Amino acid sequence: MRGLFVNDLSIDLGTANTLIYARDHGIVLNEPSVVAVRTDARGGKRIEAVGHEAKRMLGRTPSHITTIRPMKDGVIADFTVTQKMLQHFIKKVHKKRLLRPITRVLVCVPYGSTQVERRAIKESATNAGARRVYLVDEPVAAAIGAGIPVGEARGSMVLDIGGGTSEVAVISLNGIVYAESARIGGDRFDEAIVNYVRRQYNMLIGDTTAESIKHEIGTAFAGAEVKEIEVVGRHLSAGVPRSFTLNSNEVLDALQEPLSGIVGAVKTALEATPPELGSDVAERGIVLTGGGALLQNLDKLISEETGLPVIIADDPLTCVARGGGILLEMIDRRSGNSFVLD
Amino acid sequence: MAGTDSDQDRLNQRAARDYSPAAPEPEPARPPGKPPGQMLREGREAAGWSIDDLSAETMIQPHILDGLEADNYAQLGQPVFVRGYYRKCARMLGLSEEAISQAYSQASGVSPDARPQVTADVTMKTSNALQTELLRYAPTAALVVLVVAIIFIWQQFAGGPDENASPSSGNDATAGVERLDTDDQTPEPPGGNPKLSAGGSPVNPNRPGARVDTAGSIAAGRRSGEATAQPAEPAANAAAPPVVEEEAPLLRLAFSERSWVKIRDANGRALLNGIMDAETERVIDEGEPPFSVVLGYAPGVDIFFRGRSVSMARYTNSDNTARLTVGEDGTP
Repeated sequence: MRGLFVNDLSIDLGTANTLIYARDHGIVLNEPSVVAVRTDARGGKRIEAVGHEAKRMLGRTPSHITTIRPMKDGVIADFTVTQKMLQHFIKKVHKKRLLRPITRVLVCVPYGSTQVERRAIKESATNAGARRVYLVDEPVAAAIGAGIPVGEARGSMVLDIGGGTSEVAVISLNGIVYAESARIGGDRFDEAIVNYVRRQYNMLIGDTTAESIKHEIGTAFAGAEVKEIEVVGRHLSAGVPRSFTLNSNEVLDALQEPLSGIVGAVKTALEATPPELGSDVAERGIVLTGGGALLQNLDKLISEETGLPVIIADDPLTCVARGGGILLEMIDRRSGNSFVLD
Repeated sequence: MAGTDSDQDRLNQRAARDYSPAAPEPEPARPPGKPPGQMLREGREAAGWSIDDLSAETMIQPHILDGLEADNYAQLGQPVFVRGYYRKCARMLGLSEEAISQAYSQASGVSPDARPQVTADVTMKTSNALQTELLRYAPTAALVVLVVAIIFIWQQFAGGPDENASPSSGNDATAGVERLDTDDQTPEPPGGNPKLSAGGSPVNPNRPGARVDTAGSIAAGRRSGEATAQPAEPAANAAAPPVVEEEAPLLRLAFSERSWVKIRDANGRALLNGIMDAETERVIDEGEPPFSVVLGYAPGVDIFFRGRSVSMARYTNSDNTARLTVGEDGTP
């Protein structure tokens, strides 16, 4: 009965993917944060495709169609397109509903995002049809979604590696004790692979290809097994497509810079953590969430670098969205208001 | 970081499953199965590792590994950590992560999708979102109800005096006031001076305020059975004796101020409707009494029915409007 009138959505408005968690339904949408915009002869623009369909167009569009990733580094880079994208996704979630319910939306924002960035996200969600918009810090939502007991008087460290940012936070007693957001994420991994291939092979590959290389053979720590992949790119000198073979150790080499940035952020967080909470973290370990947690051996790398156990949360991709959904329920019980940003 | 296609498929399948509540949940395979601690111990011993070796590889403290092997979940904390430890150890030992995770779910009764206990220390009043939303609109709804109630009451009161003024309810004291006021046949003391107001200026008997005082005092006298009027009253009447015309029109309205007026006769026919300027007079000699009179600015209008002045003080509202019935069945 309640669901007829009120629809609670938790949105992980990510740089790479947007996930929507609907209360009582779970994850109902997981699509790339990509929008294809068509420009007509008179200069007018209209949305051609959103999500999966738009992502398939990435790098394959004619001149009058542009694929846009409206989110950059976890915040809005193109307000209008983000609004249209959110509108599309919310409408898609409500497609099967006869009555248009009151939509309350919780959106997760990177820790340390500015007031302007938060306001842009809030207004974007409001204009997309949300009646009420709550903003919460991503690390909190990630921790709650992972199942970390944030209300305990014990320190827990969560590392959420998204498409645009990596957030590390120490949480205790329903609050953030320390958090840091590094603008390093999956996109930087892809960029690093593209640069490596250009430098080492004098070949040019696209972001989509780099992403698939990362998924297939990407690793953060050298293992006994070396994987290989056949890649086709454009030779920069000859200007013709050529194929070449890339192995996992090369990808590891390519990813060194962004990985060291993430490890550095974790070490800084450990240094800044009060000793009592630090001992809790040392005993229980660091919990990895976000799509970045799926990078092979990333937990091993952080574990080796910090000397702490690192565990990967169940279904790390959806932790933030699920955590947001749980937070909405907590807000209803008036126990989650401390997490809501102004 | 975007997920792989297999991740997408898995998520889509999960989303589809979650979004269709009618779909039955697949029942996980129940025992026979080893507890995860035993699987871990056997795997470790098969690999020839000690607890310390495993601890060095996984960075998990030895006492936690002991707890894991003993299936002593109570000392290991929240399921997210326990499951993570089992998976990590399984990966190091070359065991199936899914198998050991499933074994843990069976042994502990905690599924991977189980809701974490994040608010165990907080007990608050329960309020669902619908209630919250309704509460947001409660003040507006209350205001609307209040306005409707005020309008209803106002309409009731606006119609009330007309009924009270009818002869059938003539015993009412207020009706008596009107009758007395318009009837104004009280004897006048000889040589009376004009009554002075508190400010010392002569009271205009045509002004409603003056009539209220007069009517009130006379009414009090009548109600108490006194036949004689107070001495001041005849003085006022002497200054401006009531005009009782032999050939008086049915209804005469004298406007000292600009006012809107609407008059209907007993058949509902509109006799006068519009804004009348100050210092004008309207005479109505047609229509069938009683007349329904509505005035926009009652203090600026004097009404005479068959030459007799009609007091509107009783009918004048706080916003200076007045609704009254004048005529055979009405007040005069």
